[in-house]
Amino acid sequence: MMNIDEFTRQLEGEFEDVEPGTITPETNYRDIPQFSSMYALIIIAFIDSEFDVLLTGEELRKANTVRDLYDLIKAKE
Amino acid sequence: MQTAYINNIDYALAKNPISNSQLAVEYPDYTVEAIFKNSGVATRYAVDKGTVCSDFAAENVLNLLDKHQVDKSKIDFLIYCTEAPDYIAPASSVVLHKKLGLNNDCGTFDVQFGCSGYTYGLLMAKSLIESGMASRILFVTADLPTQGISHEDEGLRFLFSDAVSLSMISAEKKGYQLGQFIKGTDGTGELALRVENSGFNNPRNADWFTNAATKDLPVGRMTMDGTAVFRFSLGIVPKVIEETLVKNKLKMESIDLFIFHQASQIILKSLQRKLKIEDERIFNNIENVGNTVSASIPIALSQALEKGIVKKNRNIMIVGFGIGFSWSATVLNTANL
Repeated sequence: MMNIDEFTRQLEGEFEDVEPGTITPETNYRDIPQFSSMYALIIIAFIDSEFDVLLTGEELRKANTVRDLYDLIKAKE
Repeated sequence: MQTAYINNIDYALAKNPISNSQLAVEYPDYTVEAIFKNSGVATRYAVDKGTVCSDFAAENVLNLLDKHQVDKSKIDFLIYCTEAPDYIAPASSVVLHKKLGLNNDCGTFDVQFGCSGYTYGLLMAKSLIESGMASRILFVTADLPTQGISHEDEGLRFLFSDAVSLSMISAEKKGYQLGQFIKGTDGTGELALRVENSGFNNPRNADWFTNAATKDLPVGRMTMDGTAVFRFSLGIVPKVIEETLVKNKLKMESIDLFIFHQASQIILKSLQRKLKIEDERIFNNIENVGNTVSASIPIALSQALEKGIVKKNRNIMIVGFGIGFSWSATVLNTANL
């Protein structure tokens, strides 16, 4: 699996109008101003498409930071 | 054995277009852009309040039968797919049969499916034709989801749309040859997308008639767990495609065009990305018509044909998936288009 910095860059690419480098592994992705319920689905789709891991809504709710998401995928891969 | 073909496909949208500007007035928390971003829909269509679905179906189907010069007296089966029945009993297909003036020797039944209803109906039509049980089938889908959406559920209002579709199916070698079908069900999805307070399970109670969210709805209230439906779609559609390819002895690259149930823009985009389908091999029209439930695939097929995207000698995979959860799919071949 890619390292966490690469994961963070790719996740950042899923958000529109976010300056590169804004999101770090410690960012709570829900604090990103563009975040909406639509982005929860976009994150689920991104992770499914890139890592073949289909997160549940509950798993996503429990993950706060980008690192939490990364660790969750690593545990499930 | 004879093979079933869809000889004609056509559709009609409900008469009232609803733009994002109109919705932005109704929902001042949203801009026109935000509504589009949220739903991926620019225009959706609604029937007049109080419309009975079989009237909506009959009026449009009679026009379409005339347009395609279909001899009604030759129709010996009517399949009516709707989630807006006139009654619990009798079957709504019986009511539609009367309104269309079909012969008494014409059999009918209802298919109570939404998103997967078109492909399910085709599956049954193929079985009736190829078994010799019917020779000329009128398959109608008609839904009016806008009439079951509370004004408090703006996400649903932005997405759904009312429409009718008509398909004529027979063994005449003209149109779209119906390939082999796959089908499936996962009833754990019962609560993910449903019309609450619409049946014996949870009849309307005193609260229904006083609650501002529901008191103006004629029958039940549509509810949707968007994340659950999204996950289901991403999980099932790639498997359905794989199984449909195997059953039809085809490879992914031999499919010239994919037409999926137009569930939502985010589902369609995510599926396309996951399946790595090039833009020219998929046709989506949700932006211009919304999610028309059981009419989504025939509308997309009709519009793709009008635009010259559906051509002769092609394989088109159609996939219905959603409410239930349920799914079905097949491949249409256009050698005799």
